[in-house]
Amino acid sequence: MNRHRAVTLLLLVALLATGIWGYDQYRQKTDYHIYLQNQYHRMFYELIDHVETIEADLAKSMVADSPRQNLLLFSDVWRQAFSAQEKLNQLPISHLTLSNTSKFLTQVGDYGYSITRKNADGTPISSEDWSNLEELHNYAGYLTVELQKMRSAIQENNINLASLTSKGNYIFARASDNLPDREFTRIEQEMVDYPTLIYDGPFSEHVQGIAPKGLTGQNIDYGKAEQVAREFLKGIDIKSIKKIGDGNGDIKTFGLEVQTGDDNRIYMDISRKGGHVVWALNQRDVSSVNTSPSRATELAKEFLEQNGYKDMTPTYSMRYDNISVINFAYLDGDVVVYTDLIKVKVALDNGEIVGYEAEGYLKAHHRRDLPEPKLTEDEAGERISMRMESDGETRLALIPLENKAEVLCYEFKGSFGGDDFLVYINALTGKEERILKLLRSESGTFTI
Amino acid sequence: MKGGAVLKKAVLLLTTALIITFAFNIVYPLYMQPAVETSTLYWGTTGDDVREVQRRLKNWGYYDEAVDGIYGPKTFQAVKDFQAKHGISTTGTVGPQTRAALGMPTAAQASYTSARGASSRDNVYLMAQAIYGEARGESYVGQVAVGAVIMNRVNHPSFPNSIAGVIFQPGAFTAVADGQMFMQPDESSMKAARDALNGWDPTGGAIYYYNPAKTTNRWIYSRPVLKVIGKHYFAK
Repeated sequence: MNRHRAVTLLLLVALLATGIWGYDQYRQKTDYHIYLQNQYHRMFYELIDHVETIEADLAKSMVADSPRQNLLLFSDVWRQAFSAQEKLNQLPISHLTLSNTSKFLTQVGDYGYSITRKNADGTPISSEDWSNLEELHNYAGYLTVELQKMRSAIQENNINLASLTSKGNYIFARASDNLPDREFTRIEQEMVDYPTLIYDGPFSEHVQGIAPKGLTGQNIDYGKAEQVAREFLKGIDIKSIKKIGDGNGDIKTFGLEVQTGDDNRIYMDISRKGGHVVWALNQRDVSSVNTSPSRATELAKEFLEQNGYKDMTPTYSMRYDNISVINFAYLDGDVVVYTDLIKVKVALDNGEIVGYEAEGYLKAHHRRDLPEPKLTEDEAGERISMRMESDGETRLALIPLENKAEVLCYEFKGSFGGDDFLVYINALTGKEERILKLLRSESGTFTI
Repeated sequence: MKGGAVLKKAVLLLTTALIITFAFNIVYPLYMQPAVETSTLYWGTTGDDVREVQRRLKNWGYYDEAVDGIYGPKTFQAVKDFQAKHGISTTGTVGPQTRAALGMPTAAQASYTSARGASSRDNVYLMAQAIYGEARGESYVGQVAVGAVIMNRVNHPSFPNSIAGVIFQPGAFTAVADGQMFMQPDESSMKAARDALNGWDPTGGAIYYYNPAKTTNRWIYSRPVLKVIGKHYFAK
């Protein structure tokens, strides 16, 4: 009898403990949920603020007539659009329902930035720009109205944006809970038709689908691709070559998997047109270092020469995992062409080539008629900030702008306060096109 | 009344000490301002300042004699040429205006400090976590491909503009949604992340990938498939 009572008591205590524990868990969950809800709601409200401002700025730009005012308005559009896009993409709504809206915000911002740049160059806004801006304004207006409607719906129905994340929660879900999802889907369909924008920004429509220029030669079949692979991997003991997936990107390719004698795998893609190796990766681990970085660069250069790329010059290199990655650019006479790039990975244990990437080269390389510089090196040098101490290393370079246009520049190397910089002065107009800061780290030199 | 006198004395002493400290604080900085080099350089001056002027003039092609620190006739001529070109009255001496035009310090300047080693734009670890979470069962090239999709999204207008933005976009990657990505990535994922960041793209420009055995989303099937690697279909 007594024992029975003891067990009952124990069970009661256990039940109570579980209850307390459960309540504590529940409370914690509620806390997190509310925290998340607050974050999402803040993002949603800020998104509306940003879009409203974009609409207002674009509207004002219609009647603004001074470069100064345009500069202020369009740099604000740029800033607001950037923030709006960022917030939109953090909402717990499937990307697929946000894709067009997100793209619209990116392009509006990018477009605004390109116009501030035009302003800085003293180029007036063209009539084509104006009609684009009018259209963009109308879409911004539509988006503003729809978001405002959604805001009142969310407020009236007391919709919790955080509940959108709990997918499996069917029992407690209310029909109104998926209102944001539904509404965004509807908005999304409207956002499809805004004009195709061609302007000088990285997200301009024409940059997205550039046809590769460097693919020369006849189409090949798979047998020939295997031959190319064997030639490329000369010196490596090949056990077997297997065809894996075809590539249907901008460059159509055959995909190959090579098994080596020492049981390593090398993957590579070879272009159907011309049979060029687009990229290759050897996954083998490199555990020791017997080759100096400068020797690795020599080996990489020899490798490129053997494969028919004779006029390549090393521009920078990185070192990690006992591997050296050397970046090469095409040398057109004495002009470094920074668009036609090939990267080569050299294993520092035995100097073997373990990686290759020529997509940049194959997409950009073509016969160019480079213009003669209109400025001499000295004239260009005078355009350099006097704060920078030039170290006298100057060469001509063809650099890509954000819109993928290529400009001929003088490349000046210099330093300020212990930091190193590359400054590019347009060799035709004298415009200071771009400034790069060199980052030196243990693993090599990078530019940002 | 002895106690009162002591208190009075103490207050007086303290006040005096305070006044002295206060005055010192005002006067001291006036005397201790950093010495500013503003002396005018002219024909016959020698020293490091002259050397600096010569070096700068030589860099810009106004002067092609030796940088010897002696303000001679060639330096004089070079300074005059420089002044003429920059709209400064051609005195042939280096005063504050010419100094400024030469980019030499004229007054106390805020000193710029290089942020060495502060940033290497290193997203390798984050990327490796995402790759490990999403594709640890895949071949090496399949792992690089997942990293490449992240990079392609960063450069695509419909997606966030940063690596972290793309990886943490709600609902974008299952391994991020269920917290699997917060595991220690292995060697292979780190390597794959570096290759993807360095521009290796085995997918040919894909921005989506899916495993047909696990995907119930019908929309994704409408996207053109660019490449199949292992279990993953890479699409645009």
